Amino acid sequence: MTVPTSEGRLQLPLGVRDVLFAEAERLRALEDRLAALFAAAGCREVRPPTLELTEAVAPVAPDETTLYKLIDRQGRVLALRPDLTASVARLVATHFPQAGELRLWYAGQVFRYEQAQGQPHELRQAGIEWFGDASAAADAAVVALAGRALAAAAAPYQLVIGHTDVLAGLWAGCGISPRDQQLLQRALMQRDYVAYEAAVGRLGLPPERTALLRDIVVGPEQDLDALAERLEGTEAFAQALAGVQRLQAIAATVRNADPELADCVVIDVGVVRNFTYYTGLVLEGFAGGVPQPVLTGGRYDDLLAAYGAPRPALGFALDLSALAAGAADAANGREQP
Amino acid sequence: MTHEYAGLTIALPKGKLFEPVLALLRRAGLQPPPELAPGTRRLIHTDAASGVQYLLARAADVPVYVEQGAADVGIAGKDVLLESGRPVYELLDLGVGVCRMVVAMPESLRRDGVPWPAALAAAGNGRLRIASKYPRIAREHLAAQGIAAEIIHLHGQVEMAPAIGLSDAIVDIVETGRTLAENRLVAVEDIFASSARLIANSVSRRLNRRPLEELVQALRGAVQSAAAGAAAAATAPAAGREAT
Repeated sequence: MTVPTSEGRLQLPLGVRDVLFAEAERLRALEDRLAALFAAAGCREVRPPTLELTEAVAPVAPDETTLYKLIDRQGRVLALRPDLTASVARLVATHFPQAGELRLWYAGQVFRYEQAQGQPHELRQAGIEWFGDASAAADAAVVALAGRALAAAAAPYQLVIGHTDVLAGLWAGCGISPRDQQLLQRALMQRDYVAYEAAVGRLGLPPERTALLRDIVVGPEQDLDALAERLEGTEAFAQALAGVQRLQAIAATVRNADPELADCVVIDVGVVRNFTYYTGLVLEGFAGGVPQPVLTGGRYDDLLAAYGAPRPALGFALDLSALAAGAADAANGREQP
Repeated sequence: MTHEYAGLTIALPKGKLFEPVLALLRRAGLQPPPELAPGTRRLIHTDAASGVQYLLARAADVPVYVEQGAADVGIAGKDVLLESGRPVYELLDLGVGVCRMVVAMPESLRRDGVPWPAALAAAGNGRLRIASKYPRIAREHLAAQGIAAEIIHLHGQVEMAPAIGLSDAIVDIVETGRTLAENRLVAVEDIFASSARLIANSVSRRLNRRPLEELVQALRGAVQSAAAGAAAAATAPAAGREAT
């Protein structure tokens, strides 16, 4: 039998590649450092399977077109996991139906059908998932662990933290209709601040509220205390204020525990991740030399209910492939911003 | 002078946008080197005083430079951004390079009160072909409306396609509409309004936050003063004439 070749060489499918020698060693070393870090934080390793039923990954992959799917001999549709959060949530529902505290870590390959050219379809992730703790202390501990994981993976790095209640609370508090809120969220998810500003301008709010909604997203870095002061005393902004206060508490705990780490943590209440999924803290990590975020995560207290095992949950995942490739670029002297 | 943007790399689009963008940068107080002018062959320019590096790129490549981190920020038309589909932050509308993305068809086939797909279907042989330099925008716009069409990707002179039987209609950028008129085409649907945008890499936006904020503020001021100047010239034509 012959195999399809191009000029005698075997081709690879779209979006996948071989990882050789030095890069493979960097990946393994990075994963070992993270494993030690996660274990020291009290996390136990789990290894869910690569294949799941499509229903099992649907709660975290609403866009089915990004899934690699196959059909088993019984005709059921399977998916290569696009993410490990879904698999770990399913694993918890399978093995730990009784609510309780659990701290898990994982590392593994994930698969996504990316539309944009040149994006990897297979990459390696490592991360943690904490279940059963809804406290601000747990938020702070996960922020600190994310910061230490980034420090172990890259330099320079920055960890950005936000809270979904701030923007959602401000929008609701300004009396913006759910439909318009969706519009604003979509603009921010698409990173289109021009559209966000224009949409806010069209709402016909009082000028100081228009300015507040604009500044919080596109304005210069905000002082959290000043923002809290601006929100205090307005009944409608109670939810937003609670979000700000939660962030203040998290930041204070992290700073008390590790001032050096706290210098690399930035609070940005304008950071937007999917609001229908995240229910509080959101995390985004950046590393010098890698042009995309290398860490994402946050709190998703409603997710486990979709698996029939409701309990608070939070976690984050690091993109090990991008970190190892970024380190290679730096080693080759290709200075990156 | 000030060095608040030191170390930033800015990707600028060659072509139509180049001169208005350069003027806007100067208005914002940046000092791109004098050699950075239309017709230059050098593609990388550094302003030694401020430490800013300028990259000259094909307009369509600016989003790629920025997404991949080769440039911290760049300037690209909304049309180019939508076509590229690259995940970059869109920070500011620069108000230059204003145009519309439209569907245009032969004037002779247009029927009053008849939607353009129906008018073309009545005149055609049952298949609808759309020529465009923007295949992704064309495909997504038509798909969103449930119109089945074959997209023909061209790299220029799209207006000629219907006349030579290459397509039934086109999706293209229109500024004044003169090119359309000269090719006996008429715009039958607006898809979106486009203008030049300041875009940023998602990581640069974080790790170079201060200089980027300064740049956005300076450019925002320049855009506003340019708009105010244009408005003043429009409302007081006499004063405008005196000045020239």
